[in-house]
Amino acid sequence: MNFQEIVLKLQSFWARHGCALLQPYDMEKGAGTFNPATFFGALGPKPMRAAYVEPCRRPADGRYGDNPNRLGKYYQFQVLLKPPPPDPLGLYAQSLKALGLHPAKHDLRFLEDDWQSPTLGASGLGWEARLDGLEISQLTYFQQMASVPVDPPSFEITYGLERMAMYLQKKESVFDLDYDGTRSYGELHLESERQFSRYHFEEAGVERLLARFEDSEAEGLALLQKSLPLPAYDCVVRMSHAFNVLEARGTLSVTQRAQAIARVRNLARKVVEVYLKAGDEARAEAAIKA
Amino acid sequence: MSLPKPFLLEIALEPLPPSAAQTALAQLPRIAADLFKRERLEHSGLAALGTHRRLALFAESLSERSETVEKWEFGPPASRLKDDTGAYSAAAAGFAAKWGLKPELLEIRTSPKGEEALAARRILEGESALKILARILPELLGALRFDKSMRWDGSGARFSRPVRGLAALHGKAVIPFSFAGLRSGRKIAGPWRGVAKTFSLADAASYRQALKTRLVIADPAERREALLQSLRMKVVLLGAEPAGANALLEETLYMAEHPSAVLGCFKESYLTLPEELLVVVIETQMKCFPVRDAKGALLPQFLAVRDGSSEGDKAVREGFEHVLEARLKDAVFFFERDKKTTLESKGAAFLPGLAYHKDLGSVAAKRDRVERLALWLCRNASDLTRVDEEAVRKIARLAYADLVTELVREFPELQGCMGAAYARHDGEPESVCRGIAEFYWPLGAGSPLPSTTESALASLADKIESVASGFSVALNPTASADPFGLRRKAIGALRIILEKGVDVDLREAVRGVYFSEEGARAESRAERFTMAVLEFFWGRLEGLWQDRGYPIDEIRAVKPHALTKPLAGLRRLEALHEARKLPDFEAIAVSFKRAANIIRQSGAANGSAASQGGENPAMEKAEELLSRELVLLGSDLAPRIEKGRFGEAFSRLVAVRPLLDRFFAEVLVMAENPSLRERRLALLRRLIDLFNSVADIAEIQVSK
Repeated sequence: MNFQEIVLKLQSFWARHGCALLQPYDMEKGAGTFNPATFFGALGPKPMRAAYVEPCRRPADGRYGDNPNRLGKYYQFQVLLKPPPPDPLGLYAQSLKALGLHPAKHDLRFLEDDWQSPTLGASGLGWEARLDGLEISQLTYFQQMASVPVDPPSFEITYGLERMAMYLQKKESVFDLDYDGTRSYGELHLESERQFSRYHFEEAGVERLLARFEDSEAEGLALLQKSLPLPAYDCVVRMSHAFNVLEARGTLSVTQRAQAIARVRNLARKVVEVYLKAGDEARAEAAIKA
Repeated sequence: MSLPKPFLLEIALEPLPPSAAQTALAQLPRIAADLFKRERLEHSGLAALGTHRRLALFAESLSERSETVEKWEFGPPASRLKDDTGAYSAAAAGFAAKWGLKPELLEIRTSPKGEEALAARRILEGESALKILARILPELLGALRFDKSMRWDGSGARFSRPVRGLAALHGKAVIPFSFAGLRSGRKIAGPWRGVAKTFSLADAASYRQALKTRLVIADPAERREALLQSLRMKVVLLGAEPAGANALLEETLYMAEHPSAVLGCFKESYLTLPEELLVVVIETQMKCFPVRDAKGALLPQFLAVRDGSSEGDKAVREGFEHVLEARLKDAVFFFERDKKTTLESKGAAFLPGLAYHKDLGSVAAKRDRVERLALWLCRNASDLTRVDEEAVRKIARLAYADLVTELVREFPELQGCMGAAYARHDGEPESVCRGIAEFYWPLGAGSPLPSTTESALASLADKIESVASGFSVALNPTASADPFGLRRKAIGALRIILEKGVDVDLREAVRGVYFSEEGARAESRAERFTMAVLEFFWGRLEGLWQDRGYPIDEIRAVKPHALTKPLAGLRRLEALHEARKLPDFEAIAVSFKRAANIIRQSGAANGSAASQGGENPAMEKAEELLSRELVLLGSDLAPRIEKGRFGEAFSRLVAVRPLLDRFFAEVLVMAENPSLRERRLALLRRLIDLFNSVADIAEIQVSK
């Protein structure tokens, strides 16, 4: 099964289970959770089911394409289910069956792995799923988003697409993966790994990144004054990515690092306050009209 | 007459973390036993069963009804039954009404406090167990406590992981109750193979068996046997043994309901990696068991444990082998990269840039403090013969350098042992390599100590420095937080001192840490923190000695000496423990306390008359004898203390008894005549000083 067939199969599986098939959000980000569909989707009482591929950039994880198991940019397949179905792990197992992996014929286990994102102020309890020893997914019940407890909780599944493909195709190197029956993953992505590793570790302009971080924060705060939480959230994402690149450049001291994380988290919290307030007001208005 | 019946409660869950399963299983029978007792339900054979997917409570028998019992409630004193007019008093009527009685039915009985009181007789009717259980099972589940709990739907319920099913049976009957938005029934969770299947259980009695036929071993003890058996079966033909830490075994018990081992192998060439590294990759990363031959050497095999049957074992084996190969390849890659530069140069290049703590500077600064303290220990700790100072210095110098290697960044638990591997590669002497390997020892309460004197001194220096510097920047451990692990460091330091026989003055060592920097700041740190650090060590020392069976009063008696010199303190303690068996010991302790009390009470007057010379009335016989005895005692004690012969010192103290008793019998210390009184007080003060030079006997609790 080539890489894109895995994506197609997951998409059709989750479409059958009521998910809107979204597209990646057009910004650099470290995890699929940053996509507004998940960030805002997890907030408030309104039900949400969505599935999408999300490219994730982890500048510090890049290895110039030298390491067969590590990438600075890779793909997650992300599913958000709110409220969680009665048997989410069973549903997850069925999705693996759709990929030809029958749980009874493998060792599929769930290891405790509680998740948190200090920049988003988000946390949840859950597991990493291991298939015959290989970590292929993260499953999380969100408990908190942007420092606000979520009610009801959401269930998030994050499939590591490259890991799953390496398992299914029995490949030793991520770059040897068959992408579409014609091209390899390496043909499509190796050069980008090389160049972005150089950029992130050696060439990224520290002053410009710091300025971008500051600017995004100022812009976000200004937008919140105008009750525009959605564009303000883009500023959170921009700050977070600038921070990740600065981390890879290794120029932040321990104190600077902690302060930067706190600033992103604060803006995220403010975004959510404004967003939820607007939602409450809209619901109250609807209730009065009804 | 109703018959007791077996009882079963099962909660089906999404996979519990092993530690949560263990804590829940420890709590369940305890809480249940309390509730059953409160509700007057008799039970036997109560046991907690469970896996990562279910928690169960089983009783071989539980009564079908609670007993009917008579109970007396006690109220106001008997005298208040009636008022002056002969009518029932308001108090009596109120008390009777509280228990639904007319006041005529009150009786006068002796209360548990032994007073005559008004008493109301109540009959607590027995109730059917089904009713009681329906009431108390939600209470039981709600009483379970977890380190972390979560919500998973809108019901507001919290548990360690989502609850997906409830079964509760008394005999054949369902106990009806609700918890976490679910209703109980007789549906038992089957083994999980990707689908949550249940089956119906007719009778609580057949729970274990019904699960076992479906490949679920609910009893953890039985599952452990099955796990060990399965692991051994796979390697018996190799003449090998499954290895793996006990913690891994416990964890694995809560990863499979029916453990089934799969044997895999890896390339023999990986056996050249440091053994600890291989073990960490196999155990910690892969959750697999290493395999060792009869002599204990690692073999190029490992055991994975899956849940259920052996269907598809080949895919499972290949999957695990594939992942292990990738991880080992990673490890080799890092190992080779790390070996390209020496530890010495890595330390010089990177430790100054590695923060230890914002107010304590870099790891390089810490290393320099530790190096100085280690050398001071070499020169100042007595009882040590022939210390290789250069080796101690080198250990302290190199031990932290592995923190900047790629492998230790990846596997922090390998600090020390990776450093040793790199030092060996750099051609450092074996004594230095070993010292680096053992630098962080002891790793746990019963774990081994550094094996050589050189290793022990370097390791001790790190521990004392950590505690002393930590206290100066408010890292003192609290009940809930000890981020730098100072408790463990302090206990490790004390164990090295006591068990390796390092006779060191802790006060001087701690002050040395503060004075490793110049000037007024050092002065004020030493002033402010030395005592707090010593008291912190002392708290751990009390614990260590109590664990070894020494009574707390004996421990406190040696505190004045042991606070600064723990090893000498231990020798005093051992001697005191023996001396306490002497027939006269208790008596001398009583007399000593008496002397100490007199001195304390003489308090304010103390000293005022001391300088008044002049008349010097003649001594009474007993006073003269004691005075001469104390001169002798002084000259007898000094050399014994000097040589650490505390047993003899205590015997000598005890021998003072007859003369001291006679002194108290015949001489009035607090005499009218001030100079007489002062002379006698001075005599007692001298006695106390002499005793205190051995131990503070006033701490000893006497039985009379």
